[in-house]
Amino acid sequence: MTARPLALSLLALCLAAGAAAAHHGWGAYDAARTLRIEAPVEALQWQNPHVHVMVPHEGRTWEAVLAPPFRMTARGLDPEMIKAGTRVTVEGYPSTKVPTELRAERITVGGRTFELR
Amino acid sequence: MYAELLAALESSALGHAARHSAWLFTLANLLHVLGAALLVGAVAVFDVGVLARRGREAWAIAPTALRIAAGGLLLQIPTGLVLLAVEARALGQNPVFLAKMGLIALGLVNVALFHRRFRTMDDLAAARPYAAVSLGAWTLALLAGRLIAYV
Repeated sequence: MTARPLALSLLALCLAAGAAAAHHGWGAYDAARTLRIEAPVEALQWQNPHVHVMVPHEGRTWEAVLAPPFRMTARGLDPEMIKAGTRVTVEGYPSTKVPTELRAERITVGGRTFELR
Repeated sequence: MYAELLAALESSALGHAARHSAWLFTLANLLHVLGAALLVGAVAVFDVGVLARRGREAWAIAPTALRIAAGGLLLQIPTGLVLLAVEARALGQNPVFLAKMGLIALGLVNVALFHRRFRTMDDLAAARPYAAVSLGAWTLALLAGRLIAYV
């Protein structure tokens, strides 16, 4: 059986990885607080699993997590519409783990609002 | 070593393609669900057969169940690699991801031991503990997989 050494090496790999670093998942956002940021986009990351835009807010750069590219396109958004320099309004829930991260529920650009959930 | 491996996977052409192609990521996502359904479903059919009927019927459906489960697993490996490559550095350190890999390892060790010990249907009643471990490990691996996104 070749499955056994494979399984053992997988297990060893897991153990070798040691203590896991925290990574924020979809549950780690405070849905009781809504935050609205209206600002020009500093940078756009159009990629899986979620599109991100960096926006300035109260002297700091916030990272707004939008929808997966597939859904962004389905809702009528494309990278050109929210490229760096474009004024947008993102509205969503702040992260409970990263002080400058926001899970955007919707984004408004050029007078049109796109629901992201 | 493990961290470097994750970083290399993330910065590889596969990682780049997985991040930037809407279709590749979506397709991998869909097929990963299908693979999980085939794998855990087929495993459950055999395991419940062993547990409930002490093996007689389970042995008859074993070749089909094994083929479907193996097909599911073959689907899981490449699609899982695409999903991991997207954010390998973060996902690879996710505690639930690590638990999932541990459960998969347990499931694979269990199936290897099972096939080494049981070659005929005579003593399949003794296979019940293996069936219970299998059912638990694969079901929990599936649940852990879904939970990764929430941790």
